[in-house]
Amino acid sequence: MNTTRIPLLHTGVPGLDHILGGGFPAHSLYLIEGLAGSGKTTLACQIGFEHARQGKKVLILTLIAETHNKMLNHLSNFSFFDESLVGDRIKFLGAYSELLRGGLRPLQKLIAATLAEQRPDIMIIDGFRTVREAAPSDMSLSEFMLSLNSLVSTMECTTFLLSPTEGNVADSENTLVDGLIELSQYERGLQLIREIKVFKLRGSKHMLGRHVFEVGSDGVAIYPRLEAINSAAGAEPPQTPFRVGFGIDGWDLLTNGGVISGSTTALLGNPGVGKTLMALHFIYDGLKRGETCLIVGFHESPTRLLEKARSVDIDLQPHLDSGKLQVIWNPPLEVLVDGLAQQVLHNIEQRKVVRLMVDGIDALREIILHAHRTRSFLVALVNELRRRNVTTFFTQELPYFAHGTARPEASESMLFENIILMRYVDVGGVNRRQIGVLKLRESTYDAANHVLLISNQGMSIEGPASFQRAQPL
Amino acid sequence: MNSPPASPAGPLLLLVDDEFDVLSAYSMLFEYHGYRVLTANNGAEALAAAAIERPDLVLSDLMMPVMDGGRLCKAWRDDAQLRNIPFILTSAGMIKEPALPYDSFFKKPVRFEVLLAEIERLIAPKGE
Repeated sequence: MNTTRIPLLHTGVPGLDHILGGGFPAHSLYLIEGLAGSGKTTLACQIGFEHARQGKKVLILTLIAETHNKMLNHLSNFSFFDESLVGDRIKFLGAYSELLRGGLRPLQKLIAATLAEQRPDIMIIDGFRTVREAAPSDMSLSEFMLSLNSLVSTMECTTFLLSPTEGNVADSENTLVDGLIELSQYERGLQLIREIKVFKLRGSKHMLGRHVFEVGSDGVAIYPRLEAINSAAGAEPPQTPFRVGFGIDGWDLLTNGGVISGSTTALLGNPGVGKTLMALHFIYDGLKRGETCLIVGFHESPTRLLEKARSVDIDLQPHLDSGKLQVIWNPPLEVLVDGLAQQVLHNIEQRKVVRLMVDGIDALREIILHAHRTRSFLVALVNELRRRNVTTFFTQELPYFAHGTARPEASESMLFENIILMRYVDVGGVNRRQIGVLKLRESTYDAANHVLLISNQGMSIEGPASFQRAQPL
Repeated sequence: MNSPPASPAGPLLLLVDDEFDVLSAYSMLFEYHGYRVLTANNGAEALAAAAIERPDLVLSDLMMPVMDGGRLCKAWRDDAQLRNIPFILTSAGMIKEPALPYDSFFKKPVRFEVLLAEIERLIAPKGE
């Protein structure tokens, strides 16, 4: 059968098309629901302004909602707002009086007349819950919804109904629309987290589950859950692996040239043992070879990091100035982890980053909002890095005083191809740094622990740690 | 905008479709454009309605219960009182039966403007 495919309406809202599977199938009826302040009017109007800018006609029909003046005032705070479009390509019309006068039928006729006369490409009906309240019966509401759906389809007008409700209940507003999207928010401590969920979207392979979003000066920005992106991603590109050095001469020798390109390495160690310095050596080694590098940090500011590097004769400033090195620094406070992941992956793609240092993975774990997500998020992140053939070093803190090595997580081994353990050992009352390989993929290596020295010339390896009665601190 | 540019004696359209929402949407839109509208849910109902009031044009779906649009189209042309009234057939699928005597056929979805233009063309006085 020669069936015409429905075109997709691209929203222009960062991240939204991604979770919708490309966009909204056009000429259909959608319900965007969410309690007061959830961002539904902003989201819908952002889509409207985006299309008006492209020359499309947009109609905003209000029932019981904000007055048009107030709505315009609120929208004018966003960068997507363009006053010159209002009145010309974006029209605001009130429809509540029709509902008040005669109920659903006059409203329906008004909508039909408006569609026939204005021929909008997009229609937004704000305050749609009023329609349910005005319906004399569930049956009449169902008939209204059916007719409205048919009407917007016939007139090829993609329509968004906005309602201050939540959940996917078996009401006709939910069942007789082509798509149902929920905006919700919850408090995590004192932080407010906003989430979007696509309950259904006919004719589209959308991403399941919830995704966080922000409402900022540019409007709504959605950060698709990294795990969902990774699940939908293709296989790893074919690669010819090569060795990537640590940038520490003695250590590169002991590890047969370093790690495999595109692999992930955990640098485990007690506080102050030199994990960050070692990762900085790795980055500096790449920079000296002309490679593009990225540092993602949480605790030490870029200035402090530069000072730390300088203290071991690593001068990163010229590379920052040339753009070969960039630092993404976010204290692990109110950071949306999917937003950060998106920023990092975007940076990697745009700049063709080949070496990445994440300092450290503990802070990354802290900002993953749902504890049960930690493992899957990190697996997805590592997969995305591998897909891009980025060689990554993660630093990971061990406790100050512990005899064990790392946290007993089975997933650790799956995350990292290579694990390097750095720790202090007490040798005759003197704390000495010791380094050893716990795991190094596709490589032979010297299994002995070695003494690690740090001087103002950088890190170096002294020799095997054959201490007598050496005790880990 | 609330007052459609209709004249009380606008052309009469007979809309035939088994889907309530399609009839409802088309009725409102054609009424807005000045047409009067009769509706029927299948071919048999359409013939009964036409016997009471003669429409100026029929817009019928193909796939319907009781009497489908193909049989209605043939019955329409067999009826001496109706055979000269323009007949538009629409369907979401393709027509399997050859040589149905309709004036125009549109595969759904059809742009409303296209449908409207065709209706205006078919009911315009000959010679215009």
